[in-house]
Amino acid sequence: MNTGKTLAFHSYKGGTGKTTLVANLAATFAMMGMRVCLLDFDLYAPSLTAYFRKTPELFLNDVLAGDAKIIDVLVDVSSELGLKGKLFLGFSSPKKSDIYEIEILHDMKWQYAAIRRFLAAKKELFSEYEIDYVFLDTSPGIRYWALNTIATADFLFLLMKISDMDIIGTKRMIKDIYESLTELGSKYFIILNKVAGASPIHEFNVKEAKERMLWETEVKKDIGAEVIGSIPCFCDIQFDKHEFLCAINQPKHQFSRRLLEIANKIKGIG
Amino acid sequence: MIWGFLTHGFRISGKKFLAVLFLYFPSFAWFILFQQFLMSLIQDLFSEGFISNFWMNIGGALFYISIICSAIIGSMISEKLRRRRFLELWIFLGVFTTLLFMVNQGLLFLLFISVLGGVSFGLGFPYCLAFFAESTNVEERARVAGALIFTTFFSIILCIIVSTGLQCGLIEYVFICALLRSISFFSILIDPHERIVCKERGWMTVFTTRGLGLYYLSWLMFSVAAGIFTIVELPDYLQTESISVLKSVFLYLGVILSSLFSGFAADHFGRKRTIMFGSIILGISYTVFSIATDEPSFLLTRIISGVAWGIIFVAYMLTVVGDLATTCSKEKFYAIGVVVPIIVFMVFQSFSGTFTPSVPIGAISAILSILLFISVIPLLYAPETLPIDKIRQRRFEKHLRKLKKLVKEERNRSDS
Repeated sequence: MNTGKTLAFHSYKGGTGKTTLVANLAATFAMMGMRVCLLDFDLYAPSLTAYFRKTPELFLNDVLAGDAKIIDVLVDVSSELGLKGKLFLGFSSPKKSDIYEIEILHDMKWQYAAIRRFLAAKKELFSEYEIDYVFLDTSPGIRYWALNTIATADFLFLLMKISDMDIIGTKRMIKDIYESLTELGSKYFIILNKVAGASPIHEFNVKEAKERMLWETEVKKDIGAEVIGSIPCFCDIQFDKHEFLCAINQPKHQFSRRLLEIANKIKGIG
Repeated sequence: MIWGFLTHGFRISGKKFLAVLFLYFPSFAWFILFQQFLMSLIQDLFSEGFISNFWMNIGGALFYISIICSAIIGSMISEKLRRRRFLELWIFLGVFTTLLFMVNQGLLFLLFISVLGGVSFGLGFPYCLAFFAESTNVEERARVAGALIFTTFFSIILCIIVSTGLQCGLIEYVFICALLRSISFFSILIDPHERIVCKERGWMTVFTTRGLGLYYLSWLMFSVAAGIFTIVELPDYLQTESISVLKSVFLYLGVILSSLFSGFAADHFGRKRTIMFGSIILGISYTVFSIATDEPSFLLTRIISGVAWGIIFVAYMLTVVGDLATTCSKEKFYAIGVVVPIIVFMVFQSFSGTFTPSVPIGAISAILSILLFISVIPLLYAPETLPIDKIRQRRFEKHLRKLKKLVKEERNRSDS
C-alpha cells in the first residue's frame, strides 16, 4: 500500500502568503515527478479557485457532506502545466451559502461525520490513486476546520512572518495545539516567509543568506521549534496582480530556488 | 475510582483542599445530624402527637432563627476578628453544645440547646463557605463543591450506619456528633486562615450585585416548592418507623450520587444549565411521588429528590454565590445568598406540620409544577457565572480530544 504523507500548511494569522507558497510548493513536488494532491481546506475563505482560475462543478464541501467522492472533485492540471509528475487539485466552494453552512449551520454530529468522510477520502487518495503527498491549505488561526485538517496531517508547517504579532501567536498555537497533536505522531516545523531585509533585490545583496540564517536561528531560539526554511520578501510576487506558479514559470527566480530547497528538506524528513 | 476521576486535575493544592474539606463537611454534616437528633429528643418528650409537633416546631424555630441571626452577625464579625481564633471558638462551641445533650433532656434545656446549637452553626458557617470560595478558582469551584457535598453526605450516612448498627444510646450518639464536629480543628492545623487584606464591603454591595438577585429569587421559589412538599400527606404504607430513617438515607444517597457529577457538569456546561436541570429533576421526583403506590417507589422518589438537591447544593449553594461574590466580604454574600434561603425553607417546613393541614399530593402537584416552572424563569435572565471563555476553552479541549481519538482510530485501522 502507498504510504503517502499529508502536509498541512497553517498560520496564526492571514497574510503570511500561505496559499501562494503551498500552491508553488505542490507544483514543485509535481515538477520533481511526485504524485501530488493539493486540497483547499481554507473552507472559510477559499482562494484556490481564483488562484488556478478554475470553476469546478463539485467541491470538497460535497465530499464532506457525503454527496460526492473525492475523485469526482479532483481536477488534474498536470498536463496543462507540463509537469513531470501529477498535480490534482481539490477546491472548496467559494459560494457564500456554502461558507455560511460550514461555519454556522451544521451541528457537531455533522461535523464529526464530515471529519470521518475526509479521513476516508484521504485514505482513498493514498491507496487507490497512489498519491505521494497530500497538501492541505488550511484556514489561518484556531478555527474549527483548521484544527480538523491539521490534526489529520503527518507534518505541520507553520508559516509566519518576522513580526511580534506572528511570533507571539505562533508560540501560543504551538503550546495550545501543535504540541498536543504530536501525540498523534505528527511533527511540526516553521517556515519563515516574507523575511524583510533578506530580499536579494539584486545580485550585490551579499547579506541575504546571512540575514535569513540569522532570523532562522533567532526564531528557533525564541519559539523552540525547528525552522525548515525561510523565504525572503519578494515584491514582484507579493504585489503581483496574479502571481501564478512562479516555481514553474520562473524556475530561476530566487523564490523558486528557495522553494526547491524547502521541498528537498521536506522530502528528506518525510 | 469515581472520586479520583472527578477530582483529577484540581489546581487547588492538596493541603488547601483538605483545609476546606475539614472545615466544611463536619460543620454541615453536624448541622443535619444535630437538628434531627434535637427534634427526635423533643418529640420523645410527649406522647400526644399535636403537642409533640408543636414543641418540636418551637425548638426548630428557635434553632433556625438563631442560625439566621448568628449568620448575619457572624458574617460581619468574622471579617474583623483574627480568623483562627474565631474558628477555634466556633468549633469549640459546636462540640460543647453537642456534649450538653448529656447534661439534661428536659424541655426547657432542649430549647436552650436549640438556640445554642443554632448559634454554633450559623456564626461561622458563612465564613466556612467564604473560605471555600476564596480557596478555589472559578473553573474548578463546582467540582470542589461536589467533592465537599459528597463527603458531607457520605459522612452523614456513615454516622447513621454506625449509630444504628451499634444500636447507640444517647451518650454514644452525642459522642459521634461531637467527634464529627471536632474534625474541623484539623482545618486550623493545616491552614493559617489568614485574612485577605482588602476593603470591607457593606450589605448594599450584596443586594446590588448584578444577577445575584435573580439567583436568590429562583432559589427562594425552589425552596418554597420543597417546603410545600413537606405538608403533603403521606400514604398509610409510609407511616412506619423504619421508613422515616430510610427516607432520609435514600435522600442522602441521591445527593451523594449527583454531587460529584453536578460539580463536573457545572464546571463544564455552566452553572445555569446545571441548576435548571436540578429544578427539572425535582419536578420529576414530585411527579413520580404522586403516582407512587408502594414503599420502593416512594424510596425511588427520595433518591430522585436527593439527586436534585445534590445539584442545587453544589451549583447554587456553594458555587454561584462564590462566583458572584466580591473578593472581600464573601461571608455576607453567603449569609444572605445561602444560609437565609435555607432557613426560610426550613422555618416553613418546621411550622407546616402544626399549623397547616396535610394535603394529598394530587391537590398540590399542579402548584408545585408551576412553582418549579417559575423558578426557572429568573435563571433565564441571570448571568452565567462560569466565564464564557472557560466554557469555550473546555469545548475546544473536548473537540481536540475527540479529533485526536478519531484520527488515532483511523490510523490504527490503516495500520491493521
